[in-house]
Amino acid sequence: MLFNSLSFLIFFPIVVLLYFVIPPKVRYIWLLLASYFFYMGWNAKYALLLLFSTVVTYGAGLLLYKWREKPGRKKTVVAVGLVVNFGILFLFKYLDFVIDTIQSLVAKVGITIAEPSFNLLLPVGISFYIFQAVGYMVDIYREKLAPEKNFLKYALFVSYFPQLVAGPIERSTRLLPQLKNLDKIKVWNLERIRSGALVMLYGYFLKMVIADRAALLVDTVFHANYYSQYVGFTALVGAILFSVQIYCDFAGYTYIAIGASKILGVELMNNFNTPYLATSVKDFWDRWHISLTSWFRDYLYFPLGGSRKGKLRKYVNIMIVFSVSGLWHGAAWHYVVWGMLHGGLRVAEEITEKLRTKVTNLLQINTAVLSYKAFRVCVTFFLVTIAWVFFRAESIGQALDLIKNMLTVWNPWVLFDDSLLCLGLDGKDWNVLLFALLVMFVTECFQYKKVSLSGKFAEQNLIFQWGFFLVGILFIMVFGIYGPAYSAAQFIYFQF
Amino acid sequence: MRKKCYIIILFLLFWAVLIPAVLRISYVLREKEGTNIQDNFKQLERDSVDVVFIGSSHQFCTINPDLLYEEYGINSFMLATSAQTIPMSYYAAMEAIELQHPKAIVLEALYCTNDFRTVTPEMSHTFFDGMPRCEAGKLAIEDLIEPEEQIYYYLNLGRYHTRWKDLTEKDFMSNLDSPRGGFYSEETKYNWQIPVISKDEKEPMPEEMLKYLDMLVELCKENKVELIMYVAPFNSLYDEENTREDLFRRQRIFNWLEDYTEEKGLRYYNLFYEIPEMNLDGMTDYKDSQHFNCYGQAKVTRYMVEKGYLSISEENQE
Repeated sequence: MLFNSLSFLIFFPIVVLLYFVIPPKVRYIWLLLASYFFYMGWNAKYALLLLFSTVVTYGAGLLLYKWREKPGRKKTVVAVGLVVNFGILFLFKYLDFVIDTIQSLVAKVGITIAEPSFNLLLPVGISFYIFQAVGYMVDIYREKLAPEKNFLKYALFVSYFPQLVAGPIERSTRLLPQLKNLDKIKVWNLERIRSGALVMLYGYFLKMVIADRAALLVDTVFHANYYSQYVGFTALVGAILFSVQIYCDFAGYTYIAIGASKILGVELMNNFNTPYLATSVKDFWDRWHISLTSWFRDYLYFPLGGSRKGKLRKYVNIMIVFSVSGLWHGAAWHYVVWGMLHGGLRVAEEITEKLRTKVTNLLQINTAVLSYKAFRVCVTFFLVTIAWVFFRAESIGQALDLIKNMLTVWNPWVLFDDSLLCLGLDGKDWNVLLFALLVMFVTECFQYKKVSLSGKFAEQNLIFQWGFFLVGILFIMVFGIYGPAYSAAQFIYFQF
Repeated sequence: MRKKCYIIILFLLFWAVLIPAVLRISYVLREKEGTNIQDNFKQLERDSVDVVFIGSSHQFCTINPDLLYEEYGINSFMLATSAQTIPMSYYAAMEAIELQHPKAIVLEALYCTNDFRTVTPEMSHTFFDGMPRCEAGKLAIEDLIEPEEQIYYYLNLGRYHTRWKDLTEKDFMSNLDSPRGGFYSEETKYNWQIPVISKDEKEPMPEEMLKYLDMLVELCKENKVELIMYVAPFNSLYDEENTREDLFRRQRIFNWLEDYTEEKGLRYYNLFYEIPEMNLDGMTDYKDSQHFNCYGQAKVTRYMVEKGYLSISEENQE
């Protein structure tokens, strides 16, 4: 069940209304049932996988606590828990990738091996819930947390529907206490409901008006068979719009999750903090997919030694973390290259930091002024955009071709001669997209300055607030991209 | 408690404004081509129409219901829509009986020669959009539309919201079309002389379509509504070469319908064989290779009335 599907728009109000009226003591059971129903909307069988991961990490949590004085046993339990969970992830997400890689490697030395067929579909959200469940287990191992004894409450923590399939990847120390105390939430809190609805509305705006509209052009420029036709500024516009698309898609989804959860009285962590206003790649990763970045920091980078074992080891650790992050995003080498590219940029920033400081001092550049910050924002955005090409392309070869075509062909006239109107977006769609981007930019600037728009909104008169919701909903209904494609041309052609 | 009531009232007020706004926007954005027919049908006073015409564009380009009323006093309605297949005509007849219970239903039989339940989603919308929320409409959607598509026939904003780019003044105005569903076109195209095969050449109509035609015959019989069938002559369905064989295949089915209607006790008029009597002029009477323009339409309408083809048989007269 997607957030922007009609079934969710029916499902969510029913869940909320019943959640508000049922006895507080059983709220967690209701949300657990709703979460499994939500997940089973994709593939009912894979709910068993979710349940299996839940049972394993729940049991591991209890054993880790029971044997907290026995380090040997603790290590065994956590190792088994990790192997089982990452084994599931490997089986469903990476097995085909590994087999393909081995096949292509041995093919290079002239050996052909038959491809085994598993026909395993990738379960939706598996990377998210497994990371969340593993995080819980490791937190107990590190004695940051006592295990949850009530299985149903723990199952709700793993399967909580607003963040089940696309995050944020919540920490047990943050989310579990909230879910344990659902009965204490004052559900009839208009302030909270309004704020949650506003966040949801913004999420739908990002997803349906911007991301899905930008996708129309991006799909054209990145098309596996025709991408070589798009060169110079055309390819650059495609890449920039992919940066817009992926942010609005992912952030939009996250905002809907955060807003929906807020309405239920549960605060989820913020996953994005104006990432395209970052002034360096490091800054970008402090603002982009924050829950995953911090997960990798706490559960991979620190255990690898972090920055405590010398500079070289630190750089190696950064590269490892970013490569794994790339692999987490998708089981293909172009994702790994994308991750490594970011890792390389991060390391390069660290290595050249002193040199850059010297140059700016030498040239007497004032680094505190807005223009300098804007320059750095643009450079960072450009680097991130180039890296996104590897993420969006279907192979490393396609990404390299696109970047080469983008940077070696000089055709600025395509920005003025209507060429951009032939890529899936007509003039009117461009107008809507640019207007929506302006709205997003202004909102992001407020967020960057840490001005709470939600707070400002709450200060307005009620009539304005409800009017804003009405206009916002109608705007998305008309200008959002959804539903079956309507073809005016077909209407004209089949007039009779 | 007071706060809860306050929130509930605000919530209800919000929906009370949102729902009419969505309905109005849905109407404005809806593709109007052909769909105003259903809007007009919905507005008719119950049981006020004697004859309802069903079928495809060949029907609404052939019969002029306004002329029928003005010149002959026949109170009729044109419920034909573009590419209305035989299964759709069956449900159109059901809708007509449910809302109007006319004395006669007249089917133009072109789509007996096609084997389609629906043609394209866009063409289906010209039939379903604006369709009164009657039992026939629900049954038609359930029967003819894929389950995952059905929602867009109830809430058609999902399909039409991208039409904001094509809105014109007409989209914001009230319905200006003929209240009897009439369609007029002054466009003229020279049509070659129409070749006609021998009446003895016959070919049965597609099986599934026959099943729906049988259902239509049965429906009219059960409800004591006379079903009249006819075929309007045309040259070719497509402006392409090599359509002659297609035309002859269709004519063989039209000839086969003679036997079918005789067996069922229905009145049936194959106008391919009455072209000279109708005095049709290939230079002035067609808008394209298959549809009459308003001049040809008036000529055929008058011809059919004067020949008594549209007269209601005595047993259906009140």
